[in-house]
Amino acid sequence: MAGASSVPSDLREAAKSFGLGRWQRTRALYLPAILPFLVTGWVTAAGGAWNATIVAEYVTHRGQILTTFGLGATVSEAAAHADFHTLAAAVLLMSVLVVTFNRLVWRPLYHLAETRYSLAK
Amino acid sequence: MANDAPICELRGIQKTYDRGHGKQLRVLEDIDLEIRSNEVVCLIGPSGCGKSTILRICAGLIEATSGEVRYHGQPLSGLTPGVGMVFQGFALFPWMTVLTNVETVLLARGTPQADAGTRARHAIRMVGLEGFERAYPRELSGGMKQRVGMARALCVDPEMLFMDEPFSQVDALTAESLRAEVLDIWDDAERNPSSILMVSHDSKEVAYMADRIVVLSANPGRIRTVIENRLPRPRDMRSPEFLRLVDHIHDVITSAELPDVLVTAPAPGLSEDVIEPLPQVRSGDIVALLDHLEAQGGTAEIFQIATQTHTPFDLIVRAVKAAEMLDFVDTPKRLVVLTPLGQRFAAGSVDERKRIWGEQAIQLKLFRVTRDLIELHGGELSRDELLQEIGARLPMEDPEATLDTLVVWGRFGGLLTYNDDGGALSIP
Repeated sequence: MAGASSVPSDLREAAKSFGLGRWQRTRALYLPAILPFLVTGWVTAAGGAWNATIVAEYVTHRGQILTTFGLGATVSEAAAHADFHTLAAAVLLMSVLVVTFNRLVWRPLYHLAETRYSLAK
Repeated sequence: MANDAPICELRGIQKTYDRGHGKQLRVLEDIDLEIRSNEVVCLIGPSGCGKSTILRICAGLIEATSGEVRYHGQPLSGLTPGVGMVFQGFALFPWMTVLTNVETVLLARGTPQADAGTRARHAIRMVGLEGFERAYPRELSGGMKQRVGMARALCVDPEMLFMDEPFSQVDALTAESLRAEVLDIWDDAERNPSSILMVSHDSKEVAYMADRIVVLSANPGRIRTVIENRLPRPRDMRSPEFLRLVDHIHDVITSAELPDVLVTAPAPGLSEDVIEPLPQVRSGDIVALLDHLEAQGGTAEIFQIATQTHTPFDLIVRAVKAAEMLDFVDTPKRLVVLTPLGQRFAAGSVDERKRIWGEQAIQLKLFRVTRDLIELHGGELSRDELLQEIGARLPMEDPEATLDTLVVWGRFGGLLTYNDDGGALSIP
Protein backbone atom coordinates (compact mmCIF):
# COMPACT_ATOMS: atom_id res chain seq x y z
CA MET A 1 0.00 0.00 0.00
CA ALA A 2 2.86 2.36 0.82
CA GLY A 3 4.10 1.49 -2.66
CA ALA A 4 0.97 2.63 -4.44
CA SER A 5 0.78 5.93 -2.58
CA SER A 6 4.47 6.60 -3.17
CA VAL A 7 4.06 7.46 -6.85
CA PRO A 8 5.07 11.13 -6.84
CA SER A 9 2.28 13.51 -7.79
CA ASP A 10 4.46 15.48 -10.21
CA LEU A 11 5.13 12.34 -12.25
CA ARG A 12 1.44 11.48 -12.21
CA GLU A 13 0.65 14.96 -13.43
CA ALA A 14 3.29 14.77 -16.16
CA ALA A 15 1.87 11.42 -17.32
CA LYS A 16 -1.60 12.95 -17.40
CA SER A 17 -0.52 16.09 -19.24
CA PHE A 18 1.21 14.10 -21.98
CA GLY A 19 -1.87 11.95 -22.41
CA LEU A 20 -0.41 8.60 -21.38
CA GLY A 21 -3.14 5.98 -21.52
CA ARG A 22 -3.93 3.57 -18.71
CA TRP A 23 -1.66 0.78 -19.95
CA GLN A 24 1.19 3.21 -20.64
CA ARG A 25 0.78 4.81 -17.25
CA THR A 26 0.98 1.41 -15.59
CA ARG A 27 4.06 0.41 -17.52
CA ALA A 28 5.90 3.72 -17.50
CA LEU A 29 4.92 4.96 -14.06
CA TYR A 30 3.13 2.73 -11.58
CA LEU A 31 5.05 -0.54 -11.99
CA PRO A 32 8.52 1.06 -11.90
CA ALA A 33 7.50 3.30 -9.00
CA ILE A 34 6.36 0.41 -6.85
CA LEU A 35 9.18 -1.96 -7.86
CA PRO A 36 11.29 -1.25 -4.74
CA PHE A 37 8.29 -2.15 -2.60
CA LEU A 38 7.56 -5.24 -4.69
CA VAL A 39 11.13 -6.46 -4.29
CA THR A 40 11.00 -5.99 -0.53
CA GLY A 41 7.77 -7.96 -0.50
CA TRP A 42 9.18 -10.74 -2.67
CA VAL A 43 12.30 -11.13 -0.53
CA THR A 44 10.25 -11.34 2.66
CA ALA A 45 7.86 -13.80 1.07
CA ALA A 46 10.69 -15.95 -0.34
CA GLY A 47 12.29 -16.26 3.12
CA GLY A 48 8.96 -17.30 4.57
CA ALA A 49 8.42 -19.79 1.74
CA TRP A 50 11.62 -21.73 2.53
CA ASN A 51 10.42 -22.03 6.11
CA ALA A 52 7.01 -23.11 4.94
CA THR A 53 8.46 -25.97 2.81
CA ILE A 54 9.88 -27.59 5.94
CA VAL A 55 6.54 -27.42 7.73
CA ALA A 56 4.20 -28.06 4.82
CA GLU A 57 5.98 -30.89 3.02
CA TYR A 58 5.84 -33.17 6.05
CA VAL A 59 2.63 -33.16 8.01
CA THR A 60 1.76 -35.44 10.92
CA HIS A 61 -1.99 -35.75 11.26
CA ARG A 62 -3.66 -38.20 13.75
CA GLY A 63 -0.66 -40.46 13.67
CA GLN A 64 -0.59 -40.46 9.88
CA ILE A 65 2.35 -38.90 8.09
CA LEU A 66 1.60 -36.95 4.92
CA THR A 67 4.68 -36.17 2.96
CA THR A 68 5.75 -35.02 -0.50
CA PHE A 69 9.02 -35.33 -2.31
CA GLY A 70 11.15 -32.29 -1.54
CA LEU A 71 13.93 -30.70 0.41
CA GLY A 72 11.55 -29.50 3.13
CA ALA A 73 10.21 -33.04 3.62
CA THR A 74 13.74 -34.44 3.74
CA VAL A 75 14.70 -31.98 6.49
CA SER A 76 11.58 -32.72 8.54
CA GLU A 77 11.85 -36.47 8.02
CA ALA A 78 15.52 -36.57 8.96
CA ALA A 79 14.80 -34.50 12.05
CA ALA A 80 11.91 -36.80 13.05
CA HIS A 81 14.07 -39.94 12.70
CA ALA A 82 17.16 -38.33 14.25
CA ASP A 83 19.05 -39.06 11.01
CA PHE A 84 21.69 -36.38 11.54
CA HIS A 85 23.77 -37.11 8.44
CA THR A 86 20.85 -36.60 6.09
CA LEU A 87 19.66 -33.61 8.14
CA ALA A 88 23.07 -31.92 7.94
CA ALA A 89 23.30 -32.55 4.19
CA ALA A 90 19.77 -31.30 3.52
CA VAL A 91 20.19 -28.18 5.64
CA LEU A 92 23.53 -27.47 3.97
CA LEU A 93 21.94 -27.86 0.54
CA MET A 94 19.09 -25.59 1.52
CA SER A 95 21.52 -22.93 2.81
CA VAL A 96 23.53 -23.08 -0.40
CA LEU A 97 20.32 -22.74 -2.42
CA VAL A 98 19.14 -19.75 -0.36
CA VAL A 99 22.49 -17.99 -0.59
CA THR A 100 22.82 -18.64 -4.33
CA PHE A 101 19.31 -17.39 -4.91
CA ASN A 102 20.05 -14.28 -2.87
CA ARG A 103 23.21 -13.57 -4.82
CA LEU A 104 21.85 -14.23 -8.27
CA VAL A 105 18.30 -12.93 -7.99
CA TRP A 106 17.48 -10.82 -4.98
CA ARG A 107 20.63 -8.82 -4.60
CA PRO A 108 20.76 -7.58 -8.22
CA LEU A 109 17.06 -6.82 -8.06
CA TYR A 110 17.52 -4.95 -4.80
CA HIS A 111 20.40 -3.01 -6.27
CA LEU A 112 18.33 -2.09 -9.30
CA ALA A 113 15.44 -1.05 -7.08
CA GLU A 114 17.69 1.08 -4.95
CA THR A 115 19.41 2.83 -7.83
CA ARG A 116 17.45 3.12 -11.02
CA TYR A 117 14.00 2.72 -9.55
CA SER A 118 14.61 4.78 -6.47
CA LEU A 119 12.48 7.90 -6.31
CA ALA A 120 14.90 9.73 -4.03
CA LYS A 121 16.19 12.70 -5.96
CA MET B 1 3.40 40.72 -32.91
CA ALA B 2 0.40 38.80 -31.79
CA ASN B 3 -2.63 38.59 -33.99
CA ASP B 4 -6.10 38.72 -32.59
CA ALA B 5 -7.67 35.25 -32.66
CA PRO B 6 -6.80 33.63 -29.35
CA ILE B 7 -5.56 30.04 -29.29
CA CYS B 8 -6.75 29.48 -25.77
CA GLU B 9 -9.05 31.54 -23.57
CA LEU B 10 -10.22 31.51 -19.98
CA ARG B 11 -13.59 33.15 -19.36
CA GLY B 12 -14.85 33.94 -15.86
CA ILE B 13 -12.87 31.16 -14.23
CA GLN B 14 -13.52 30.49 -10.53
CA LYS B 15 -11.82 27.82 -8.50
CA THR B 16 -12.74 26.84 -4.97
CA TYR B 17 -11.55 23.93 -2.89
CA ASP B 18 -13.72 22.21 -0.35
CA ARG B 19 -12.13 22.37 3.06
CA GLY B 20 -14.73 20.15 4.67
CA HIS B 21 -17.51 21.15 7.08
CA GLY B 22 -19.10 23.04 4.21
CA LYS B 23 -16.27 25.56 4.19
CA GLN B 24 -14.71 26.59 0.95
CA LEU B 25 -11.40 28.06 0.06
CA ARG B 26 -11.55 30.43 -2.88
CA VAL B 27 -8.40 30.15 -4.91
CA LEU B 28 -9.27 31.96 -8.13
CA GLU B 29 -11.90 34.55 -8.87
CA ASP B 30 -13.04 35.99 -12.19
CA ILE B 31 -10.04 35.02 -14.25
CA ASP B 32 -10.22 36.12 -17.88
CA LEU B 33 -7.15 35.42 -19.92
CA GLU B 34 -6.33 34.80 -23.52
CA ILE B 35 -3.29 33.39 -25.19
CA ARG B 36 -2.95 34.61 -28.74
CA SER B 37 -0.66 33.22 -31.38
CA ASN B 38 3.00 34.23 -31.44
CA GLU B 39 3.12 35.69 -27.99
CA VAL B 40 4.73 34.98 -24.64
CA VAL B 41 2.44 35.46 -21.65
CA CYS B 42 3.84 35.37 -18.13
CA LEU B 43 1.89 35.01 -14.88
CA ILE B 44 3.53 36.58 -11.85
CA GLY B 45 2.39 37.11 -8.29
CA PRO B 46 3.01 36.08 -4.68
CA SER B 47 2.75 32.43 -3.73
CA GLY B 48 -0.84 31.45 -3.10
CA CYS B 49 -2.17 33.69 -5.86
CA GLY B 50 -3.09 30.64 -7.92
CA LYS B 51 -0.78 31.28 -10.86
CA SER B 52 0.11 27.60 -11.22
CA THR B 53 -3.57 26.72 -10.89
CA ILE B 54 -4.39 29.03 -13.82
CA LEU B 55 -1.73 27.30 -15.92
CA ARG B 56 -3.17 23.89 -15.02
CA ILE B 57 -6.71 24.99 -15.81
CA CYS B 58 -5.52 26.25 -19.21
CA ALA B 59 -3.84 22.90 -19.80
CA GLY B 60 -6.95 21.01 -18.75
CA LEU B 61 -5.15 19.28 -15.88
CA ILE B 62 -7.46 20.83 -13.29
CA GLU B 63 -11.12 21.53 -13.76
CA ALA B 64 -12.39 25.00 -12.90
CA THR B 65 -15.31 25.26 -10.46
CA SER B 66 -17.06 27.55 -12.90
CA GLY B 67 -16.21 29.43 -16.05
CA GLU B 68 -15.10 28.29 -19.45
CA VAL B 69 -11.91 27.17 -21.14
CA ARG B 70 -11.94 27.68 -24.90
CA TYR B 71 -9.54 26.35 -27.47
CA HIS B 72 -9.72 28.08 -30.86
CA GLY B 73 -13.11 29.40 -29.86
CA GLN B 74 -14.58 26.03 -28.88
CA PRO B 75 -15.51 25.29 -25.26
CA LEU B 76 -13.38 22.51 -23.94
CA SER B 77 -13.26 19.98 -21.15
CA GLY B 78 -10.43 17.61 -20.42
CA LEU B 79 -6.89 18.00 -21.69
CA THR B 80 -6.25 20.97 -23.96
CA PRO B 81 -4.79 19.79 -27.26
CA GLY B 82 -1.59 21.28 -28.57
CA VAL B 83 0.05 21.82 -25.20
CA GLY B 84 3.55 20.78 -24.14
CA MET B 85 4.20 21.14 -20.41
CA VAL B 86 7.45 21.88 -18.61
CA PHE B 87 7.40 21.37 -14.85
CA GLN B 88 9.15 23.15 -12.02
CA GLY B 89 10.56 19.94 -10.57
CA PHE B 90 11.33 18.47 -14.04
CA ALA B 91 9.02 15.46 -13.46
CA LEU B 92 11.23 13.10 -15.49
CA PHE B 93 10.81 9.35 -15.11
CA PRO B 94 13.98 8.38 -13.21
CA TRP B 95 13.99 4.79 -14.53
CA MET B 96 14.09 5.89 -18.16
CA THR B 97 16.97 7.23 -20.20
CA VAL B 98 16.78 10.70 -21.68
CA LEU B 99 15.74 9.16 -24.99
CA THR B 100 13.03 6.94 -23.51
CA ASN B 101 11.65 9.82 -21.46
CA VAL B 102 11.08 11.75 -24.67
CA GLU B 103 9.95 8.76 -26.74
CA THR B 104 7.31 7.77 -24.19
CA VAL B 105 5.49 11.03 -24.81
CA LEU B 106 5.57 10.53 -28.58
CA LEU B 107 4.32 6.95 -28.29
CA ALA B 108 1.47 8.19 -26.09
CA ARG B 109 0.40 10.39 -29.00
CA GLY B 110 0.33 7.42 -31.33
CA THR B 111 3.61 8.11 -33.15
CA PRO B 112 4.92 4.85 -34.66
CA GLN B 113 7.96 3.44 -32.85
CA ALA B 114 10.36 4.10 -35.74
CA ASP B 115 9.32 7.76 -36.09
CA ALA B 116 9.33 8.28 -32.34
CA GLY B 117 13.05 7.54 -32.13
CA THR B 118 13.90 10.01 -34.90
CA ARG B 119 11.71 12.77 -33.54
CA ALA B 120 12.92 12.25 -29.98
CA ARG B 121 16.54 12.51 -31.11
CA HIS B 122 15.72 15.66 -33.03
CA ALA B 123 14.10 17.27 -29.96
CA ILE B 124 17.07 16.26 -27.81
CA ARG B 125 19.43 17.86 -30.34
CA MET B 126 17.31 21.00 -30.35
CA VAL B 127 17.83 21.53 -26.61
CA GLY B 128 21.56 20.83 -26.89
CA LEU B 129 21.68 17.42 -25.24
CA GLU B 130 23.11 15.44 -28.15
CA GLY B 131 25.27 12.62 -26.80
CA PHE B 132 23.22 12.27 -23.60
CA GLU B 133 20.45 10.10 -25.10
CA ARG B 134 21.45 7.05 -23.04
CA ALA B 135 22.01 8.93 -19.76
CA TYR B 136 19.62 8.61 -16.83
CA PRO B 137 18.15 11.77 -15.27
CA ARG B 138 20.04 11.25 -11.99
CA GLU B 139 23.31 11.56 -13.91
CA LEU B 140 22.37 15.05 -15.15
CA SER B 141 22.59 18.49 -13.56
CA GLY B 142 19.44 20.52 -12.85
CA GLY B 143 19.90 22.56 -16.00
CA MET B 144 20.31 19.46 -18.16
CA LYS B 145 17.27 17.82 -16.54
CA GLN B 146 15.20 20.83 -17.48
CA ARG B 147 16.57 20.59 -21.03
CA VAL B 148 15.15 17.06 -21.09
CA GLY B 149 11.88 18.49 -19.77
CA MET B 150 11.90 20.98 -22.64
CA ALA B 151 12.76 18.32 -25.22
CA ARG B 152 9.86 16.22 -23.92
CA ALA B 153 7.47 19.17 -24.23
CA LEU B 154 8.76 20.25 -27.64
CA CYS B 155 8.93 16.82 -29.29
CA VAL B 156 5.16 16.72 -29.84
CA ASP B 157 5.40 19.96 -31.82
CA PRO B 158 3.04 21.80 -29.45
CA GLU B 159 1.14 24.88 -30.48
CA MET B 160 1.57 26.22 -26.94
CA LEU B 161 4.43 25.66 -24.54
CA PHE B 162 3.30 25.82 -20.89
CA MET B 163 6.02 26.28 -18.30
CA ASP B 164 5.52 26.29 -14.53
CA GLU B 165 8.43 28.16 -12.90
CA PRO B 166 10.74 26.19 -15.16
CA PHE B 167 14.02 27.78 -14.13
CA SER B 168 13.53 28.20 -10.39
CA GLN B 169 15.43 24.99 -9.60
CA VAL B 170 18.22 25.71 -12.04
CA ASP B 171 21.31 27.77 -11.19
CA ALA B 172 21.19 31.42 -12.25
CA LEU B 173 23.68 31.27 -15.13
CA THR B 174 22.11 28.19 -16.69
CA ALA B 175 18.66 29.75 -16.26
CA GLU B 176 19.82 32.78 -18.21
CA SER B 177 20.96 30.75 -21.18
CA LEU B 178 17.88 28.49 -21.05
CA ARG B 179 15.61 31.55 -21.25
CA ALA B 180 17.44 32.79 -24.32
CA GLU B 181 17.27 29.34 -25.91
CA VAL B 182 13.55 28.99 -25.28
CA LEU B 183 12.99 32.36 -26.93
CA ASP B 184 15.17 31.31 -29.89
CA ILE B 185 13.07 28.20 -30.39
CA TRP B 186 9.84 30.17 -30.02
CA ASP B 187 11.01 33.05 -32.22
CA ASP B 188 10.67 31.14 -35.48
CA ALA B 189 7.14 32.24 -36.40
CA GLU B 190 6.76 29.48 -38.99
CA ARG B 191 7.25 26.74 -36.46
CA ASN B 192 5.67 25.66 -33.19
CA PRO B 193 5.45 26.54 -30.38
CA SER B 194 3.46 29.51 -31.49
CA SER B 195 2.91 30.80 -27.96
CA ILE B 196 4.31 30.39 -24.49
CA LEU B 197 2.50 30.62 -21.17
CA MET B 198 4.89 30.77 -18.26
CA VAL B 199 4.48 31.04 -14.50
CA SER B 200 7.25 32.90 -12.72
CA HIS B 201 8.00 34.70 -9.50
CA ASP B 202 10.99 36.53 -10.90
CA SER B 203 10.26 40.02 -12.22
CA LYS B 204 13.48 40.15 -14.27
CA GLU B 205 12.58 36.86 -15.89
CA VAL B 206 9.12 38.03 -16.93
CA ALA B 207 10.46 41.37 -18.18
CA TYR B 208 12.93 39.44 -20.31
CA MET B 209 10.54 36.82 -21.64
CA ALA B 210 7.02 38.21 -21.83
CA ASP B 211 4.99 40.18 -24.34
CA ARG B 212 2.28 40.42 -21.74
CA ILE B 213 2.82 40.25 -17.99
CA VAL B 214 -0.23 39.22 -16.00
CA VAL B 215 0.16 40.37 -12.40
CA LEU B 216 -1.94 38.46 -9.87
CA SER B 217 -2.84 39.18 -6.27
CA ALA B 218 -3.63 36.56 -3.67
CA ASN B 219 -6.53 35.44 -1.45
CA PRO B 220 -8.40 34.83 -3.67
CA GLY B 221 -6.26 34.93 -6.80
CA ARG B 222 -7.32 37.74 -9.10
CA ILE B 223 -5.78 39.43 -12.09
CA ARG B 224 -4.47 42.70 -10.81
CA THR B 225 -3.07 44.24 -13.99
CA VAL B 226 -1.78 43.21 -17.35
CA ILE B 227 1.43 44.96 -18.38
CA GLU B 228 2.20 45.08 -22.10
CA ASN B 229 5.91 44.68 -22.66
CA ARG B 230 6.94 46.22 -25.97
CA LEU B 231 10.69 46.26 -25.43
CA PRO B 232 12.42 45.08 -28.62
CA ARG B 233 13.99 41.61 -28.63
CA PRO B 234 16.57 40.43 -27.88
CA ARG B 235 16.31 42.34 -24.63
CA ASP B 236 19.27 43.73 -22.78
CA MET B 237 18.81 43.12 -19.07
CA ARG B 238 21.07 46.06 -18.23
CA SER B 239 19.43 48.69 -20.42
CA PRO B 240 17.72 51.58 -18.60
CA GLU B 241 14.36 50.77 -20.28
CA PHE B 242 14.59 47.20 -19.06
CA LEU B 243 15.39 48.24 -15.50
CA ARG B 244 12.54 50.74 -15.57
CA LEU B 245 10.15 47.99 -16.56
CA VAL B 246 11.40 45.74 -13.74
CA ASP B 247 10.86 48.64 -11.33
CA HIS B 248 7.36 49.14 -12.67
CA ILE B 249 6.54 45.43 -12.20
CA HIS B 250 7.84 45.70 -8.63
CA ASP B 251 5.59 48.71 -8.03
CA VAL B 252 2.53 46.92 -9.33
CA ILE B 253 3.19 43.80 -7.24
CA THR B 254 3.80 45.84 -4.10
CA SER B 255 0.74 47.99 -4.52
CA ALA B 256 -1.27 44.79 -4.97
CA GLU B 257 0.14 43.33 -1.79
CA LEU B 258 0.48 46.43 0.40
CA PRO B 259 -2.12 48.96 -0.68
CA ASP B 260 -1.22 52.49 0.41
CA VAL B 261 -4.40 53.00 2.39
CA LEU B 262 -4.91 53.29 6.08
CA VAL B 263 -5.82 49.89 7.41
CA THR B 264 -5.69 50.85 11.06
CA ALA B 265 -7.94 53.41 12.72
CA PRO B 266 -11.23 52.81 10.93
CA ALA B 267 -13.90 55.47 11.27
CA PRO B 268 -15.36 55.18 14.78
CA GLY B 269 -18.77 53.59 14.99
CA LEU B 270 -18.66 52.51 11.38
CA SER B 271 -16.91 49.22 11.89
CA GLU B 272 -17.31 48.39 15.54
CA ASP B 273 -17.64 44.73 14.79
CA VAL B 274 -15.05 44.47 12.08
CA ILE B 275 -12.08 42.41 13.16
CA GLU B 276 -8.91 42.67 11.18
CA PRO B 277 -7.48 39.27 10.29
CA LEU B 278 -3.92 38.65 11.44
CA PRO B 279 -1.32 38.07 8.74
CA GLN B 280 -0.11 34.49 9.27
CA VAL B 281 3.39 35.24 10.48
CA ARG B 282 5.21 34.45 13.71
CA SER B 283 6.31 37.28 15.99
CA GLY B 284 9.91 36.11 15.54
CA ASP B 285 9.76 36.85 11.81
CA ILE B 286 8.39 40.34 12.48
CA VAL B 287 11.15 41.00 15.01
CA ALA B 288 13.73 39.76 12.48
CA LEU B 289 12.31 42.19 9.91
CA LEU B 290 12.53 45.11 12.34
CA ASP B 291 16.10 44.16 13.28
CA HIS B 292 17.04 43.99 9.63
CA LEU B 293 15.48 47.40 8.98
CA GLU B 294 17.39 48.91 11.89
CA ALA B 295 20.63 47.47 10.57
CA GLN B 296 19.82 49.03 7.17
CA GLY B 297 19.41 52.47 8.75
CA GLY B 298 15.65 52.29 9.16
CA THR B 299 14.65 52.03 5.49
CA ALA B 300 14.83 49.28 2.92
CA GLU B 301 13.22 48.30 -0.34
CA ILE B 302 10.88 45.35 0.10
CA PHE B 303 12.36 43.23 -2.71
CA GLN B 304 15.85 43.84 -1.37
CA ILE B 305 14.81 42.72 2.10
CA ALA B 306 13.71 39.41 0.63
CA THR B 307 16.95 38.99 -1.30
CA GLN B 308 19.26 40.10 1.50
CA THR B 309 17.62 37.99 4.19
CA HIS B 310 17.13 34.98 1.87
CA THR B 311 13.49 34.92 2.88
CA PRO B 312 10.61 34.10 0.53
CA PHE B 313 8.95 37.23 -0.74
CA ASP B 314 5.48 36.32 0.49
CA LEU B 315 6.76 35.79 4.04
CA ILE B 316 8.34 39.26 3.93
CA VAL B 317 5.05 40.69 2.68
CA ARG B 318 3.16 39.12 5.58
CA ALA B 319 5.76 40.32 8.10
CA VAL B 320 5.58 43.85 6.67
CA LYS B 321 1.77 43.80 6.79
CA ALA B 322 1.87 42.66 10.39
CA ALA B 323 4.48 45.25 11.35
CA GLU B 324 2.33 47.91 9.70
CA MET B 325 -0.73 46.80 11.68
CA LEU B 326 1.33 47.16 14.85
CA ASP B 327 2.52 50.64 13.77
CA PHE B 328 6.15 49.59 13.63
CA VAL B 329 6.65 50.45 9.96
CA ASP B 330 5.25 52.59 7.16
CA THR B 331 5.23 51.47 3.57
CA PRO B 332 5.49 54.31 1.09
CA LYS B 333 5.50 52.50 -2.29
CA ARG B 334 8.14 49.78 -2.31
CA LEU B 335 9.95 51.12 0.73
CA VAL B 336 9.58 49.84 4.26
CA VAL B 337 10.42 52.52 6.84
CA LEU B 338 10.68 52.09 10.60
CA THR B 339 8.37 54.42 12.52
CA PRO B 340 9.70 56.14 15.66
CA LEU B 341 7.90 53.41 17.62
CA GLY B 342 9.52 50.74 15.46
CA GLN B 343 12.88 52.33 16.13
CA ARG B 344 12.26 52.28 19.86
CA PHE B 345 11.26 48.65 19.61
CA ALA B 346 14.34 47.69 17.60
CA ALA B 347 16.64 49.51 20.02
CA GLY B 348 14.93 48.16 23.13
CA SER B 349 15.90 45.38 25.50
CA VAL B 350 13.98 42.12 25.50
CA ASP B 351 11.65 43.31 28.26
CA GLU B 352 11.02 46.63 26.55
CA ARG B 353 10.27 44.88 23.30
CA LYS B 354 7.75 42.62 24.99
CA ARG B 355 6.12 45.62 26.66
CA ILE B 356 5.85 47.64 23.44
CA TRP B 357 4.62 44.58 21.54
CA GLY B 358 1.93 43.97 24.15
CA GLU B 359 0.78 47.60 24.07
CA GLN B 360 0.48 47.52 20.28
CA ALA B 361 -1.13 44.10 19.97
CA ILE B 362 -3.86 44.92 22.49
CA GLN B 363 -4.95 47.71 20.13
CA LEU B 364 -5.98 45.04 17.68
CA LYS B 365 -9.60 44.10 18.03
CA LEU B 366 -8.93 40.37 17.84
CA PHE B 367 -6.84 40.46 21.02
CA ARG B 368 -9.41 42.57 22.88
CA VAL B 369 -12.21 40.24 21.83
CA THR B 370 -10.20 37.19 22.85
CA ARG B 371 -9.45 38.62 26.28
CA ASP B 372 -13.11 39.57 26.77
CA LEU B 373 -14.10 36.03 25.85
CA ILE B 374 -11.63 34.56 28.32
CA GLU B 375 -13.06 36.73 31.09
CA LEU B 376 -16.59 35.81 30.08
CA HIS B 377 -15.66 32.14 30.44
CA GLY B 378 -14.35 32.61 33.96
CA GLY B 379 -10.70 33.07 33.10
CA GLU B 380 -10.20 30.07 30.87
CA LEU B 381 -11.20 29.52 27.26
CA SER B 382 -10.74 26.21 25.49
CA ARG B 383 -9.09 25.96 22.12
CA ASP B 384 -12.27 24.64 20.49
CA GLU B 385 -14.41 27.44 21.84
CA LEU B 386 -11.99 30.03 20.53
CA LEU B 387 -11.76 28.26 17.16
CA GLN B 388 -15.54 28.51 16.88
CA GLU B 389 -15.48 32.20 17.73
CA ILE B 390 -12.76 32.88 15.19
CA GLY B 391 -14.62 30.88 12.57
CA ALA B 392 -17.77 32.92 13.20
CA ARG B 393 -16.06 36.30 13.22
CA LEU B 394 -13.48 35.79 10.49
CA PRO B 395 -15.20 33.44 8.05
CA MET B 396 -12.63 34.06 5.32
CA GLU B 397 -9.67 33.01 7.46
CA ASP B 398 -8.27 29.64 8.42
CA PRO B 399 -9.24 29.46 12.13
CA GLU B 400 -6.42 27.09 13.15
CA ALA B 401 -3.75 29.29 11.58
CA THR B 402 -5.30 32.44 13.06
CA LEU B 403 -5.38 30.86 16.51
CA ASP B 404 -1.74 29.80 16.25
CA THR B 405 -0.70 33.31 15.24
CA LEU B 406 -2.86 34.80 17.99
CA VAL B 407 -1.20 32.57 20.58
CA VAL B 408 2.35 33.30 19.40
CA TRP B 409 1.80 37.07 19.30
CA GLY B 410 -0.15 37.04 22.55
CA ARG B 411 2.51 35.07 24.40
CA PHE B 412 5.28 37.33 23.14
CA GLY B 413 3.46 40.44 24.36
CA GLY B 414 2.41 38.83 27.64
CA LEU B 415 -1.28 39.20 26.72
CA LEU B 416 -2.21 35.52 26.72
CA THR B 417 -1.03 32.27 28.16
CA TYR B 418 -1.73 29.04 26.41
CA ASN B 419 -1.61 25.68 28.04
CA ASP B 420 -0.27 23.33 25.34
CA ASP B 421 -1.54 20.17 27.05
CA GLY B 422 -5.16 21.06 27.67
CA GLY B 423 -5.29 23.67 24.92
CA ALA B 424 -6.78 26.36 27.13
CA LEU B 425 -6.15 30.10 26.94
CA SER B 426 -5.99 32.42 29.89
CA ILE B 427 -4.79 35.89 30.81
CA PRO B 428 -1.46 35.98 32.65
